[in-house]
Amino acid sequence: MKTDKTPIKKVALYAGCLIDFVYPDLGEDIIEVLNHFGVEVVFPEGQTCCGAPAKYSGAKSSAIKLAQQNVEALDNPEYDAIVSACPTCIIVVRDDFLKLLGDDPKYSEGAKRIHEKTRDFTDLVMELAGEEKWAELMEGPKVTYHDSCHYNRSLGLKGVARKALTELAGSELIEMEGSDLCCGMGGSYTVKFPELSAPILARKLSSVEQSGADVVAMDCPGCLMQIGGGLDKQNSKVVAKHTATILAEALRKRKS
Amino acid sequence: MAKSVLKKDIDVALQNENLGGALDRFADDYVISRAKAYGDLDFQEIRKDIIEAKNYAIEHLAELADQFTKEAEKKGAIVYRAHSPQEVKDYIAKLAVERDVKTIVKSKSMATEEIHLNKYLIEKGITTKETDLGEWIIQLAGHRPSHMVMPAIHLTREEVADIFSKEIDERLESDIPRLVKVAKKELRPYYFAAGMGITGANMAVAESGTLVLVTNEGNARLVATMPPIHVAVVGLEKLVASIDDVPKILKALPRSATSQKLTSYVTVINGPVPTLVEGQEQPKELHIILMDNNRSKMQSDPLFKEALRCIRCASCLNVCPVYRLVGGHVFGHVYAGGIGTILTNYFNDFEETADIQALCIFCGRCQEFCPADIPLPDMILKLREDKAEEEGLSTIEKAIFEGVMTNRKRFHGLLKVASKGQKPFAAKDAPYIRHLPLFLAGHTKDRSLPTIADVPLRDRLKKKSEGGSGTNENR
Repeated sequence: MKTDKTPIKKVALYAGCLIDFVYPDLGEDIIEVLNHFGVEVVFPEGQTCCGAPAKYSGAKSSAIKLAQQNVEALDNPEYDAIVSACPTCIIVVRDDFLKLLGDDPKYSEGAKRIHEKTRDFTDLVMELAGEEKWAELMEGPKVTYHDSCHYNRSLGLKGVARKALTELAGSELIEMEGSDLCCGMGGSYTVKFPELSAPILARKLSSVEQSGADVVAMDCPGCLMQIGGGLDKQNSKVVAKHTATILAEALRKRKS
Repeated sequence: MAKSVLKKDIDVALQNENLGGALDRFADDYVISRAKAYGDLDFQEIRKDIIEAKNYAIEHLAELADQFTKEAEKKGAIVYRAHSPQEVKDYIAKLAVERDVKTIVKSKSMATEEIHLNKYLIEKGITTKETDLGEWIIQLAGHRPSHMVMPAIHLTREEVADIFSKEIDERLESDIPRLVKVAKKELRPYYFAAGMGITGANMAVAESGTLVLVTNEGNARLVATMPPIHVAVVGLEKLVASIDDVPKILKALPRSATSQKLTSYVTVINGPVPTLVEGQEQPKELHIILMDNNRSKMQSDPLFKEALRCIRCASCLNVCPVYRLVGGHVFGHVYAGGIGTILTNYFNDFEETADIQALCIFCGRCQEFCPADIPLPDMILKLREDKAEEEGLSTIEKAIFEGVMTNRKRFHGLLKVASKGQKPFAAKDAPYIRHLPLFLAGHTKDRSLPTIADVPLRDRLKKKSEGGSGTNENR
């Protein structure tokens, strides 16, 4: 069995629908950064939607089916870790699969192994990076950080991402007001209650603008779509980026 | 409340600039002032103590209720154990009739709001007067509370001035100290005239039969002491085992509720005290109603029993991104917000809950701030699942989840088709194509639509691996 001490040499990337189909560039950034640490990244083709939209709609039977399909795709002793850059997916893959399949004789063991191996991308990077530094502080654009709800509260990693941005990528970090407030994405919430999602987003965008940053970083592709789309719509100069993209850019800059 | 009614209520709330403005400002200020009130105290440590004390009480609920009854009766109180709201209402109405009570003053009782006691007593011809400033305002306005701690937070000072002006038949300005003075003057005679005072309690200590009231206005003390009869309506979840548990909860309650280190008044009631009746000192009648109203049922559920830890600070409302937009009349019933969703389901009405739960966006901020670490998002999700199971999913949800998402090839195939919007596609797939990209994120006029990439990551990597770089794997 893999333990915390197992050196991470080969990982499976669990992309999630958004990185797979909307942000493939982000997927490549993730692979590039992990490759830098000598980690081989594979993409198990059988992976499919984690089931979060089904979960948050109360569609439990669909969530179970998707969990089974993903366990089939991801449960492989060759992987030292299963890595994702979507916190909502991570919670489902890491924790919900086990809850949904805990009593399933065919899948419970696999769900348990996946539970033990599933990791957040930025968190893993910081573990691999050790004392590494890719850029001196304040070389790049000013960055403000949006605490994605599931990243901050469910994974408890807000400090890790800030550390990656400042210590590894050398970004100057400016805190926005209310960084921990939801961006209004919430998956299908934008479909069911656009009239509530919109003012929640508007507030987030105004905090981002007022921070004076050039870039707003985050560790969730859902927030990226929501905040990025909002900034784009109002022709903002601020750019929304996933932490993985900022790390990949810092790495490329260092190498060039 | 049907879906369309909920939508309409949301629209009305969003149009209400006063509601949005006041709540929004309050929500911002709250986080700052709360942090100040906690100062250097370790919130996680305080939480641990509360969880421990409350979990013990929940596990020993029946036992503590018995012990409380015995101890309070030893001190001269009359304890009535009520199961249903009707039993509470009947008990109080009967007592009022027997003692010829015409007027009742009330303070500090969400439990009586929960069972709509005022309406019942008024129907019986008994005058009831709410004496908490906020409660009095909404009683005059005919509203239900929109917040557990600040029941009239949905009203502006101008609206309050209008309400008071009507009541005292004098045009009042919206100057707050003046309005408070008016309230004091109007309410004061009632404390002396009333034949009965009704309060709630923040804690009920089993080992000593003690009630604890945490207030700021001082009126609860008047209500509990002036009239010859005091009735305290106490939900079973207010029970704690020991007097040592009181300071544990007191450390968090005022800080989380009103950003105060301590409220102006903490009243500890240990049995009846003497009072003046027609100039004569007489022993007072103290009735304590321990109310169940499905709290025992809650206690038997492994998930929902955790909600009995709630100390009613309402911080889950204050930090909720949805509550601050629409307030407690839309996001709530008698009890509002995250905890309100759970309590409504047990104390009031599952139908009502079905609508309210839909408003949760699952950001988890409520649980982060909760002094009792109640897993509200997990509970609300469970209600959502129950609803889906009971009523079934909508047609389009069913089509998307069961027809498409659980079939990877079909799902991914449709996403690829959607990325090339102009490409002809099979007619049978047309409705999915319209809904699928929206499913990844709904369309709003305030945000650019997400576009589906021409070539998804999986296909890019496959191409590369065919070229030899080995990043893809077929299993």
